[in-house]
Amino acid sequence: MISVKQLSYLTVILIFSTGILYLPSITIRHAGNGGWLSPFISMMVGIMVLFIILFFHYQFTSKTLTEYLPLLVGKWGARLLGALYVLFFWSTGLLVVREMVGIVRITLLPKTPIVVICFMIALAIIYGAYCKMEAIARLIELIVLLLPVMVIALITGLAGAIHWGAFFPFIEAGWRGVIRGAFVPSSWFGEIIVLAYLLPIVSSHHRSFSILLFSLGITAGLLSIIVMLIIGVFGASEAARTPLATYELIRYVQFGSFLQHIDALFLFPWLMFMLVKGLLFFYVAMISFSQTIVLPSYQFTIIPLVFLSTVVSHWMFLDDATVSKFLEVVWPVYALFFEAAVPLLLLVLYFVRHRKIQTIRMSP
Amino acid sequence: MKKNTPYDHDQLVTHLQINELLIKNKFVHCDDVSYRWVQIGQSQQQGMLVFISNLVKKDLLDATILRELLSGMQGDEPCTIAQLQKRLISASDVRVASKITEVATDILSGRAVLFVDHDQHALSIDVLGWEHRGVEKSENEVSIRGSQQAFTENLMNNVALVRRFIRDTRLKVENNIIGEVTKTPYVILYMAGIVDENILQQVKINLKSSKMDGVFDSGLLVEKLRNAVKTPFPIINRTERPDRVASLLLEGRVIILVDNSPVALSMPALLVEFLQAPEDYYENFWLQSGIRLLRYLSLAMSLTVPSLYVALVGYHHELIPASMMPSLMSQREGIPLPTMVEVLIMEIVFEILREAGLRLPRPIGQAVSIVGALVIGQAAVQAKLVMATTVIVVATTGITSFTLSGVGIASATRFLRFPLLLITGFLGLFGFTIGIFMIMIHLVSLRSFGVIYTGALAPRTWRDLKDSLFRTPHQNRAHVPWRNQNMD
Repeated sequence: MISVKQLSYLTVILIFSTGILYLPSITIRHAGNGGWLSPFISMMVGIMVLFIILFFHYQFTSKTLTEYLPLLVGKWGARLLGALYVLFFWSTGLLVVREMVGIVRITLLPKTPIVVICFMIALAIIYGAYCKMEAIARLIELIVLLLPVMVIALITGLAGAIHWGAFFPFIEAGWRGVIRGAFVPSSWFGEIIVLAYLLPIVSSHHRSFSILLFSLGITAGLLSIIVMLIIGVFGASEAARTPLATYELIRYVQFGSFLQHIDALFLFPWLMFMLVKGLLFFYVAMISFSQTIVLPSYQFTIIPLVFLSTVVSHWMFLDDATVSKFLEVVWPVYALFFEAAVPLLLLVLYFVRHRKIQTIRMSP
Repeated sequence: MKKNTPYDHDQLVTHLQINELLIKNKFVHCDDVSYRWVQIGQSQQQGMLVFISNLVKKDLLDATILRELLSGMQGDEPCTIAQLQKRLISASDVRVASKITEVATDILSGRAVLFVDHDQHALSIDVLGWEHRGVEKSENEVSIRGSQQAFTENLMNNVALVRRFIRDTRLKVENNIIGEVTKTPYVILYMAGIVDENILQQVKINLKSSKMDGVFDSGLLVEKLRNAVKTPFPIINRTERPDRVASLLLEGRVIILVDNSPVALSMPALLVEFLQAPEDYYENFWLQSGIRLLRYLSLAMSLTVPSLYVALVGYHHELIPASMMPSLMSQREGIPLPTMVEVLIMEIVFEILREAGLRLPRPIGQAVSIVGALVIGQAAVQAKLVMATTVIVVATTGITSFTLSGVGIASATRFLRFPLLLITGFLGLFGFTIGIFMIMIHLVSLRSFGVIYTGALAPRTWRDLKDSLFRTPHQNRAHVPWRNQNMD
């Protein structure tokens, strides 16, 4: 059993951890110096997804998305859609691992073979999955404390380097730009679709909607702060050309003349968050996989899932530029289909087939 | 054994001579067993007193049994065991036994057993009195304030020490025996109404189901109790201080005391418990909150400092402040080993020194640590075998692990330090992150008797933090639940 509080921490880490990697420069490319407003608009998608999955949760208590699919789309439709969702969660996990490999290669271990890094990440994820969701939630509760430390250190360490002029003229790309800049990040906010698999093990749902809504707001605020810092330090046009803008930003952090070049220090919490995020997606992939093909024991399935993904991630993305391009062009459409379009469709279907679903649920 | 005896049942008989044979048959080649024949009073009735002379208190035996038996009751009628018990024997703890095995166990535990003619029962009398250590100052859990006494090897004395702290009928003491051969007595202590019944039952079941030949220390029970949970972290706490046991009891813990062991076991254990010391509660809470935070820092440092040092010197030079770089580089010059190997060797040497200091008699132990730490350390730096910084790092790590009052948690971090050092040595800060991630998720997944091990930290509430990370004033802390129920 996990608590709503842990779930809200999880939401923040889920979106924030990889959201600050490639997203800021993509957003700023479209929204210019108004990019710091985009996260709040992308948040709307998150709120919508949250509303839908909570609605379904109250309708089908103690059932995960894969488990209530048959009620909405029939047996075979559910199998197909369930399998597609497994693929989606697995591929997202894969992408997180690939992003992590990218940042580790660039910052910490430029000469180490990718296979070694992948293997270590896989090992950590497999062990994490064996410790079950309750342990993951408690781990999140511990490491979330690093998040404010990280952000406050960033703000104080960069305070001297910010040029306030970069924010004027106010929203130079216009509101249209801000909204276009919000499109790609919205797929990150949509990632809270994983909660559809975690809500059944939440112990008490007291005020869960408002708590989770609040955590989405916090996430948007944090992302906005990061984008603001990037714009303030680099200026909008320079930031748009820097794919790993946040990492470049961290390199600028210094405290007096004593602590300089402390980018490696920021990587510890950041990598922790990304490990947890990868772990979460593989965990959900594992659950949905076992529920789709109805396995009694599921924990062993994590091993092939994770190792397969390390191989595929290596073969799919040869360099980090491909990852960045993929995230900007292909990913949002692909992700939003599963995160927003399908849930919306399911909601419509629920209202259309409302009566029939009730009778199916009543029959033993 | 049974097949050789003429009677194949365990019962005593009415003839004293046969009883004597039965007992002597049990105690073949046991020359420490004494047999004292007496004639009870004026009657012609014979009695036999069996005891182990080194386990009983002779004065007590003479005064309460022998003298009374010799003077006897009035009249010359032979008397029964029941009469003797009621009217003659002036000892407080007396019971009637009728089984040979029972009698044998009683004799072996230091009681004197009286057999009389014409009665198939025997009288088992408590005249215990062997040589044992008195209550002394706690040596392994030193504290400046508070009670200084520590448990001894005498089980019943230990129970009495706890009783002196808690004068309440809700403190329950359950006697049991464990060990097929040694038949070691142990005691389960708990506060009725506060203790979690499920945990109590689980403890009892685990102990009952364990088949062991010998139990020589409470440490042997730990593995039976923890039910195959695989972890280097201690999920059962241990202490040798009665005041600590008393406070653990009030918090609803189950305590196990074993005969011949001065160490009590307490379960369930939480991680935060190992970072608390008795003084925390006896001294000013501001200062103690600070000291407690220091202990948390020490815990983190004792695990991570060597690895972080290796990551910094071996991989991420840019993190080292520029002003420190020249001195580090000059130290590094001419050192043959990579930093990771250097630290690893020094850590192993440190562990060897620690172990040697522990095992040796105290005066020599000190000499070893002085020679080891000062002489070898200094010489190794001068001979350019290791960096001076490495010696500082290893020494600091060693000292941090000594600040942790719970012995078990320090050994867990000492153990985990090595794999973390290896993975960091090979993969730098990335390896360090992976290592810490795995250690942390292992830690949060642990449960001690169903209770989340990291409770009060994760999951945490503000109320929990009042006595985990900090030590807030006593009236602010959550009271023990039973008090609110029964006080008014």
